[in-house]
Amino acid sequence: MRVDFALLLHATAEHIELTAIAVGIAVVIGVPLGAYLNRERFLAGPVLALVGVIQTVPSLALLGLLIPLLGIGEKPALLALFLYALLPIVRNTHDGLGSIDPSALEAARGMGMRPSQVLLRIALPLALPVVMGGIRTSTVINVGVATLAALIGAGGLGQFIFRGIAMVDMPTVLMGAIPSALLALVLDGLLAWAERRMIPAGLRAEN
Amino acid sequence: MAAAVVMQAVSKRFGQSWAVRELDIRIEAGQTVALIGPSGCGKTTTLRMMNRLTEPTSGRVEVLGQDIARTDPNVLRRRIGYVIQEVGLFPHYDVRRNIAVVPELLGWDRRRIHERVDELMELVNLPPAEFAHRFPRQLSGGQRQRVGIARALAADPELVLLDEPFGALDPITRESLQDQFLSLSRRLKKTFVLVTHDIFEAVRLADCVVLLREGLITQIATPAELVRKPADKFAEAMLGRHRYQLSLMTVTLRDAIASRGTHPKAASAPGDPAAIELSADLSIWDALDRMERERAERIRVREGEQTFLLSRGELLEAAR
Repeated sequence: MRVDFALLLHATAEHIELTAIAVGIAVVIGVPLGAYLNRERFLAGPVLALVGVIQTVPSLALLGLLIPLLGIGEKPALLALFLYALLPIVRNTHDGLGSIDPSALEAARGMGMRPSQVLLRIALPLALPVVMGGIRTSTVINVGVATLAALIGAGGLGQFIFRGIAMVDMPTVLMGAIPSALLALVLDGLLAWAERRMIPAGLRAEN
Repeated sequence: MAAAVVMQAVSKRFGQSWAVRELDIRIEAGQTVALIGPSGCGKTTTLRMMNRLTEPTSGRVEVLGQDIARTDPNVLRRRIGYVIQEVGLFPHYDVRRNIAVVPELLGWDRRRIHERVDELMELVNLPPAEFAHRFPRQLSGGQRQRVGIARALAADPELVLLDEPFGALDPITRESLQDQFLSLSRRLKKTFVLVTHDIFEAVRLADCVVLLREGLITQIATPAELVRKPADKFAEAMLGRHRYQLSLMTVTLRDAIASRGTHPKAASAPGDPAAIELSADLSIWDALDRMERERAERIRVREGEQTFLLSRGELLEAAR
């Protein structure tokens, strides 16, 4: 079997692009949403349930449902990926902020920090390990779901998988499947590394 | 004397129940005042209404001459030190940054903040060279609370609020921190308002004790007055079985001389090896402690022109 490296590289780049954009938007929207839900307790239940329901829609079905709305191509694929990435990020931000030692928040308020300062200087840094956990989960999920994007013409490593299935050609299937599995591992590892660098020294376990 | 805090007819209702009702308190500048009472008496609520962490349902609170309902609560809080039982240090900040929080909020320049933090760390006996870059999890409970106190003093506030600051510490650490607090509060010309449920703490640390019960003030008095003349059954119950001990702690040698009218003994026994000389400001409790440690039978106290000689028995009698 001959491997077309240029094609493989191109598909991998598309795959990374889809995942990165979708997770990026999910972070930009999900972290503030999680923080907001942590303040407006009464909204947290319904909104988290709604975001959770989206997660239960089979990915194939979701892509299909979006075709009449957005057609085919990158747009519906990105929307679907974004929706899948949302739950882990929103929920982890909400839970992470909720699990902070309340005395630190009480002290921050008592010393005259404004609510935005309490959130940005104290609450979010303390919740960061949990928030990053959500982002990593979203990324791994998205690398997997993004293989399906090929079905609606958004490209990515899924192209090899579906072509291989259609041609009953296992090597071609693997040409999509193996890089996509590796990609999930590599991105997760990269984020783990970033997490270690971002998490403040005072929170690390070693003494 | 100027008042640091004035509360007028202050009430606070949570849902259907009143946490405090029609409270009138005046706290003089430079004093240490203890708010004391059993759980649910409203002492913490009262404290939190002084920096607007809790808003009164009605009434007026004046802090450092300002009606605080009309101030920006964040600006107000930066002018008031605040210490809580759980300390609430920021675990992701090292000691230096924890102490620097309020000066940073106030926009001090970096060098001034650095110098101020060094000064405060020395003040609470945490040498900067050793502790400045430690994180809260690398400190003992007592060290954390000392950082908490340094942090509250950082921007040199005139008023410091402390909510059961020593409540979570083991007895030995607590006593040592109380001693340090006492010498600190005497040296610094600041107003301290302290919430506690420990009558010994209140008596040791405060110039004035406010006794609260079910949201009402039952007595405002100096520790000595409270011990000598509890206003009602409730105040007596707060003193409990420890009244005599508390009396030993609050009656000074000066009081003892005044009340007993002990006949002066001019320095007739300067060579009396059994007598040690003590300051008239000491409490009988401390005097007895010194006598025990130095194996003295009598003490000499100079008061004005006269010198008095007091025996252990006379001291014990004076506290009755």
